[in-house]
Amino acid sequence: MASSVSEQQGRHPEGALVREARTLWAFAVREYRIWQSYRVNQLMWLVNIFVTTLLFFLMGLMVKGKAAALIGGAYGTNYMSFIVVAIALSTFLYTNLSDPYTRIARSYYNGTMDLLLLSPMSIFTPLFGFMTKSILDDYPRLLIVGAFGVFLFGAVFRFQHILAALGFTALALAAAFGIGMISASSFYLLNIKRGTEPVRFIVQQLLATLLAGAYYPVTVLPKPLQWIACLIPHTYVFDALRRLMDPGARLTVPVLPIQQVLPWSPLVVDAVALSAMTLILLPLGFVLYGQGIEKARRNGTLTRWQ
Amino acid sequence: MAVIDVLGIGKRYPGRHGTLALEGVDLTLGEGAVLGLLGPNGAGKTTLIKILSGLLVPDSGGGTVLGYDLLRQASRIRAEVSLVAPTADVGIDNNLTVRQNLVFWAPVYGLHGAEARQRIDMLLARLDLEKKAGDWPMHISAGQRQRLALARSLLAENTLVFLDEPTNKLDADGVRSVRDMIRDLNMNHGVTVVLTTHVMEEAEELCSEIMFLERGQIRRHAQTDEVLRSLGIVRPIRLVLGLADRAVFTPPEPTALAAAEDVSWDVGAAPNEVSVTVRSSDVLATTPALLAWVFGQGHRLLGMASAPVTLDDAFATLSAAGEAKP
Amino acid sequence: MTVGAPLIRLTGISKTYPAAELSLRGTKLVTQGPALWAKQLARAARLTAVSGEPVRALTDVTLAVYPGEVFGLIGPNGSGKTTLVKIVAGLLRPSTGTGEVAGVDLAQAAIIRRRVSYVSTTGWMGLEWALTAEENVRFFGLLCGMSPALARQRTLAALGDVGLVADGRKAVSELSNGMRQRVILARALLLRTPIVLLDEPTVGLDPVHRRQMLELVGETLPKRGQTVIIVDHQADAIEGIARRAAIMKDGRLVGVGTPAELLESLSGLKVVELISRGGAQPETLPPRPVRAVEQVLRPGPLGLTQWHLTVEERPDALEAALGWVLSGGGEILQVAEHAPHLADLLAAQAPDEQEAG
Repeated sequence: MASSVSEQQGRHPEGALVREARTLWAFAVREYRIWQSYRVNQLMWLVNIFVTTLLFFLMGLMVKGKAAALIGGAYGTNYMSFIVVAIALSTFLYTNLSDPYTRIARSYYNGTMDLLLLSPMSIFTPLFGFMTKSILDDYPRLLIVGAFGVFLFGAVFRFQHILAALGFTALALAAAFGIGMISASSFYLLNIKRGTEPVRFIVQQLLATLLAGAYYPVTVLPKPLQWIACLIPHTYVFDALRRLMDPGARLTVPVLPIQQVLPWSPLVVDAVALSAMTLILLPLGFVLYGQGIEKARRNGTLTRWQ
Repeated sequence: MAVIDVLGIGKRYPGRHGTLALEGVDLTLGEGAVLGLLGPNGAGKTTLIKILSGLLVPDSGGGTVLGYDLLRQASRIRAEVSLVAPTADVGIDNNLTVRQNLVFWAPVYGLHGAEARQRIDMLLARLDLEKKAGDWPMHISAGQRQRLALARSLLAENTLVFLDEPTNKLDADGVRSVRDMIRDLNMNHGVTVVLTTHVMEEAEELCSEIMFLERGQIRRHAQTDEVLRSLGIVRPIRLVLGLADRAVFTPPEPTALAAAEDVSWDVGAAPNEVSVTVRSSDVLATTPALLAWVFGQGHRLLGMASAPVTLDDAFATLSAAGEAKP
Repeated sequence: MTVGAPLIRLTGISKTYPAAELSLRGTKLVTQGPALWAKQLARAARLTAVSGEPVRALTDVTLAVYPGEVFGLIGPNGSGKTTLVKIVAGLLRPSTGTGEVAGVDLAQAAIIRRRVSYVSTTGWMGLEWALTAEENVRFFGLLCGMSPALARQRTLAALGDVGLVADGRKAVSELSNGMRQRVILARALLLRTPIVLLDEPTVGLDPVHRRQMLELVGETLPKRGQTVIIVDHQADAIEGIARRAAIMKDGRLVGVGTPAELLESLSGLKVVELISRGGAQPETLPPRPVRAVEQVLRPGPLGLTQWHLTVEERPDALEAALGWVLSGGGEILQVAEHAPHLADLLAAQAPDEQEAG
């Protein structure tokens, strides 16, 4: 066994970054093992995706023929394409936004936060480590939602702008993760241990559900609410991906009020807005989360176990 | 260099009652020491361990642990110490088997491939968990879960280990294997250990020095044997002797027996037997001298009993002193 | 005290836990009755795995505990103590066997559960973290149908019993682990049920509170007319307070009686405890008077070694034991002889069992 500090450090010649990467990999392997063993769950999750897409397919039947008028022309004429983009993206965004808080809360209640802090990794690594579960569990849903949409329910997509679409998605995910970390830090900073965490509740449950235009274009909302919708990343990424992926969508017709005000093309507005949100929210998330951990270290509330 | 060197550590938990957990705690601990933190429930033992391991920020005081500043380099400290909490088993992932739990943590501590496998095998064997390696944590006993938590913390080959009530839930065999493990870490690998326990016999067996805490303050901190000697408790040593020469018995002089206060004797059950009582303020010092005298005189030792001062007595005396103070 | 009918009577109790049918994440699935077809289906779909054989936790346990007794259960981890206590508490159904607890047949577990208090120290048994210790105890009384005045009065008494009066106004989250444990105990003392079942109640208590707790269990509860079954793996805790005790091993009772009766199997033997300094390991095997040796090295600058020798009761046994230890050199710092304790009995039983198996 190592008997001196220098020997100790000699154990890790690969350097800090490589070690963090190995740690993340260990998280991924662990999450894969767990995911793999929840077979009933995986079955349920297929059924769940099927039912969700079926539900919107049936609603799509109701508005058949009127879809073009309803979804406003800018996003094409196919309601299934319109809705599949939202369902697929929502899964991603929901995970990035909600998971950090959930996982932090769990590690508080089961006492792992002490352990994670007592190991040679940065305080952020566990958060990223927990997210590997999402990559396994939630991200594949995108493909399944898409497959159900295209092969069963008549959604149609075009793929010539796929790289741009991926870029927008990545930005939105980063911004959502920033909000997720802010939400997670409230666990320690605001000492919200039970009940509903406000950041997550407002952004996810209220704004994203009602205003982001997942199931209908934001134009059906009163003008003031449309402006509020412009405050969250969901709105922009739905808009951008529909323009890029739906055949018949038009890149130049503005939909969001902010797109009507600014002199740029709608996609540029989306890109600028998402970039700005990422640049603000992600660092803010890191800072607040770090402060949250420090506060917990002062108050002795890292875990409920003493 | 001292492994731990802190001064004036104080901590008050926020909350309705603003519980005072620690006040003015100084501690210097050398390499290779085993420090036993003793004290009644709620004395601040766990709080001190959490502060020293960098998990908790003290309100006042500071110093170094492993040469790192307690306040500014807490993350370095956390990365290089091990801590086993009494509730550590709650952190075990029930979705992974016993071995998989350890496999997950190995790369976190920088262990890979064959090296990781070897160390995991070694820990499972040493803590009697080999047969349970493939089992789900829910299906092993509380004691085995506790040992799994210990194994996980010892994956990292850290030179400073904090153990908060390490043998709490274990039966006799479990206690033995964990104490052997601690002793081995300390004696054969030079690991410095800080442990808390409510079992005084355990502290006496394992600890080279003792810190007695009460209501967040140090009541006593010294080498274990010094703690015991300094209590000034006088205990009897009783012997039954078979006389070498049944006619003559001369009792030993108290001054010839280290730390003996007085000697009394009586005729025994059989004609050639006497029972001798030596009252001593340090049984461990008096006994060798007394035995030397017995064998030197050619007497036969038929029976002997002594109750040396133990940490149980220390605990009672020190907490009584604490009660007396306002 | 043993006059009259037993309060707890168990006859031929066995308990076998079924082979755990597990979903692969470790959740136990229902495997009986109408769910059987689902099980087959799940197995066919490789959604579950059977882990091992059924586990036999208790075998043919017959036992009587009399009113007002403090009855101890001792044995190593996994010997079936907790299973037995849970059966008495009406929390587990035995596989075979019959019994009565406080005049109620084991089959009527719901009634039994109202006549026993059960304390386990694994987990926090539903303590509400945000409430004070006093509230946790008092609300439990109210939940059990006590009048507010009685609940208040009993709560105060119970907190006094466990030495938590001063800290009773603190939230459970502010208490230390040992204090939380005492809150759980106070809660169990509230109802003054005829039977109190304590599973390892002294784990994690400091010596002073441990002594207090044992006093409470050994004296106060019997005075109140309560009958106690106490489980502990530390046999000495039980030896001091239990009027009678049972030793368990691999799910069987291997001995029932007063501590003195139980120790009879060790008659003719005594225990010599030594502390030595310096010296090497004695090379030779122990001489005949020294039956068994346990040696513990103490770290630290003193280099002390602790010896636990089981020797035959003979005039030359002590000298032989000392001579044997000294044959490795060094000096002896302490000598204490005593009659064997229950703990020695547990240690003595382990090798026998292995030979038989």
